[in-house]
Amino acid sequence: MAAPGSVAHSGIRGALAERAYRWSRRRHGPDSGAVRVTRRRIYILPTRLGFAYAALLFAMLLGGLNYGNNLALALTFLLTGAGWVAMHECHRNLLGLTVTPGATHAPFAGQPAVFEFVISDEAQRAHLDLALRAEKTESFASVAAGMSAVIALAVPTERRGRRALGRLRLSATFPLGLCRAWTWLDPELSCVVYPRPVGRRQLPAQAVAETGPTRHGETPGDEDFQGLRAFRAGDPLRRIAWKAYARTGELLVTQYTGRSAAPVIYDWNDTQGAAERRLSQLARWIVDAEARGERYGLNMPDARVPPDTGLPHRHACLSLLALYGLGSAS
Amino acid sequence: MTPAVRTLAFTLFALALAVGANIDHVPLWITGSVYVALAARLYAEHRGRGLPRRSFKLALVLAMVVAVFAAYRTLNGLAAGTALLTLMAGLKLAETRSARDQAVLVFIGYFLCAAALLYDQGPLRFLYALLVCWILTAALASAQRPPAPQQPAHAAARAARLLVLGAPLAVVLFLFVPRIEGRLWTVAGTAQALSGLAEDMHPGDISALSLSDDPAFRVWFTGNPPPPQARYWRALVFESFDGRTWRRGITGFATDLPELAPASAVFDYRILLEPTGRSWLVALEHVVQWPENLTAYLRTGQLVRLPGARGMPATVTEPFAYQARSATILAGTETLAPDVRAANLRLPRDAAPRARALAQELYAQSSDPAEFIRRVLSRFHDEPYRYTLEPPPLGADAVDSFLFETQAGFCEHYASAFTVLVRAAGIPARVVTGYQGGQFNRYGGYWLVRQSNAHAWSEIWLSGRGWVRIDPTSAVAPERVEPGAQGAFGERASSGRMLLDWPIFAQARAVIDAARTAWSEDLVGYSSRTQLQLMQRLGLGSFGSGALAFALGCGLIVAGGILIALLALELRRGESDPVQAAWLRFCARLAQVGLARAPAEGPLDFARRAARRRPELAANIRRVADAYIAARYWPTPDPGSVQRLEALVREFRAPATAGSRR
Repeated sequence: MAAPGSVAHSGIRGALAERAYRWSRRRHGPDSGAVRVTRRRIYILPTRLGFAYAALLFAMLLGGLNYGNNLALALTFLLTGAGWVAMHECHRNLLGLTVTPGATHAPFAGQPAVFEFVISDEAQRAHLDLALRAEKTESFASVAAGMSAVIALAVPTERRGRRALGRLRLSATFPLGLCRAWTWLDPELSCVVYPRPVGRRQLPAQAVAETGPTRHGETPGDEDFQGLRAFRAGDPLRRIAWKAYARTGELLVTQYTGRSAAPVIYDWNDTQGAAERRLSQLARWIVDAEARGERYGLNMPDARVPPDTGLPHRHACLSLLALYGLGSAS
Repeated sequence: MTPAVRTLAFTLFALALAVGANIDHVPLWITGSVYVALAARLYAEHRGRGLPRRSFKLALVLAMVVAVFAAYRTLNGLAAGTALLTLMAGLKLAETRSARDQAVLVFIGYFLCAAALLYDQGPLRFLYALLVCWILTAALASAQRPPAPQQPAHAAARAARLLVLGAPLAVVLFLFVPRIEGRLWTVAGTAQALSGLAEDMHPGDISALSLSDDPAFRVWFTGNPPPPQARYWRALVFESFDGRTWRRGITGFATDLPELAPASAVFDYRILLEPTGRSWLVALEHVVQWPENLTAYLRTGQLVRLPGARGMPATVTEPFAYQARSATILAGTETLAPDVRAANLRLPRDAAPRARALAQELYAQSSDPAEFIRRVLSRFHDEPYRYTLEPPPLGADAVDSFLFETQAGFCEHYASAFTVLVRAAGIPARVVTGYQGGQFNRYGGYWLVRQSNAHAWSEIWLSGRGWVRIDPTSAVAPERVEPGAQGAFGERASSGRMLLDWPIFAQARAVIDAARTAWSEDLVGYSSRTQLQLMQRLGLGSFGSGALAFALGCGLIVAGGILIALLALELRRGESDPVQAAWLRFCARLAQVGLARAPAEGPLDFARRAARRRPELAANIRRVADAYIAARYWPTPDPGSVQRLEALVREFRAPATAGSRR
């Protein structure tokens, strides 16, 4: 259903929607961090169904007046009242919400980028059937009284680089679908899109760092178990000591002595072909290395990442690949 | 059943109820085929079948239109329109899948409810229509929820809330939206035969009516009511007689009014006439003032309804209220026009030879017309005439046969025979039908006149006195015209009606009738006239035509304020779900001592954090959190869990610590 103020329109409606958006943007400025939905930024218009409802009531009104039939008029007015209350409820359904940008999950090119938003209300009211929309993706959630809800938007990506999330529309047609209240949010979010991890090149021999000879593919340091330490975000799941968790209820990870896990350095110069092919190959190597729990580093023509392991490290490496040559250094 | 199918079933259920609102005046084959379509649609959905093809639907539309046209000979008009709409609803079912299609069904349902009220404005039908509108709104709320339909029970609660909160606005609109006089357009009305007085009078007509308890009209007197023996409500005047049947004679509107005797009492009253399907109106005796834009005064001294502005029909097809003033005694200065005199003396040439002979004989014995009348009446009184609802059949000459053979009849027999006798003596006379008597309803402050009060009598012209009412029935059965005439007939008393005449039942019937009258007076009969009175009572009379707009504006502001206040009140009151409400009370208590729950914090996390901060309360906090989780998240909640949670929250105390007080 084409909605008032929806983004993806061409022609006159699109131009109007664009102007309306820019006007509203000037009214309440750019958004950063948590946005509270105030009266000032809620817009409301009837939906097509709402216009049909109004036409129906008008027809019933004419009929009732024409026949001088007060009971038909009473029914008409009762439905008018219900529609009117529905309009208020629709508006109130957005009022007082706070939208906080949450986690973003960086994807590989071609996969959807997931942006999460936490929606809550300080007044602890319930808000039903909220729709959050960006570009052509729409997700729904309801906020129960005193609770919060997470809405995840998965927007498609095509190529590596920085993927900006356009403006957002938080809307609801609750309770009868007769009108739609909406608000524009412009959190100026973006996420990094990693290169597609493809490539079958074997790892060149000199990629192995000088710290010690380790054959590629061998699980490092199984026999060099050092002990357990508390779980930190980013630790690979395969290192979690599940048996210990079952026993104590605490998340622990196994630690190994670093000696046998000699770091591998992946180098731009080990790859061949067009830049995108090279980046994809490097991404492949990094993903595989992380999956095996290796320590690895990355050498690029313009930057290098010292060897390490863990998800933050993987993100640093893949981000470097994602933004290579795009000039946006952030 | 999946939620989508359940919602569809709910919408179909609501539509079935809306179709049912018209079941008594839409042909059964139409209602039946819609119900079959409903069942088929539900079955197909249950089986996961596809929807019918386009060509099939097109053929159905054609068949439908043809069938309705064949049945009604038109597609225009209320009846055919309702029938067509009902069938459309059935057809729409064939393509209903999306929420929007279901909304179309709901809208058709609303329209069917309104159409049902155009046929019948009784309180039961209205209540039914309200109920159906509620369920339809619930179906709309249930279907119009992205991403998934809502539980019908929740949707019903939601719809009830919308309708109740919208009621103040509805009242304001009802009171102040201006009503129009007449009609914007007219449709071919269906001439319905309603019970009541007929346009002509055969012997036996009124006796059939006298068994009917239906109300004929109700009267409100501004001052004192006339005495019982003067409560004669004239409706129709018959001047033309063919030996058996009396018909209306000369028509034409009166140019001037009869003059009143100075001593004559004057009565102001308002009549609410039940639908008759005719144009005549009832009025007390000699009408001296009437609403000229609505009614006209005929030469026969009779009121008729005029066609109103913009095609308002001249027949009374819905309750019709009008105000009039009447007097009892005329000044007698009026003269009788020659054509009227001739019409009121005319008798069929060969009719009633014995009656003519009798009349001439009695007239010869009398010194003046008044004495002649006395002689005729005393003949009715002294001879063995009977007053009965079931007279024996009359012979070839109705008047002679009644006067000399059967001597048993009802008021129309006496009025007819009496008028023939008087005409035969050369005195102008006519038959009048109408109603006599009435019963006071002290709950409603009005006089109720029933169909059983229908009566026929005569009027004779006496020079120097004008038209004088003579009721020959009173000579035979004086109790007929006395108060409490009911039960005057042996037949009625023995037919089990005695029970209904017991005081308690009579009282109950009076209360019910007063309620019905209030319904049709104040709700159904609310009109531009009542609106004007309301404006005057509100002190807005001087605003003229702007008063309604002003009142409407103010009313809308007030209703809007009420709604906003109610919503704000609810905002403060919070959640209606008892589990959530108890949990929020608990959180609020901890927040008072500086332990506010973060919006995104679940019950376990919050309890753990709170327990760490307030170790002395840890056990209690944990217990409340566990009870909340049990009541909220267990797949099959134990009904006692809510009470347990509420009890725990009630007992929970969080004394402020030195640290938090600072």
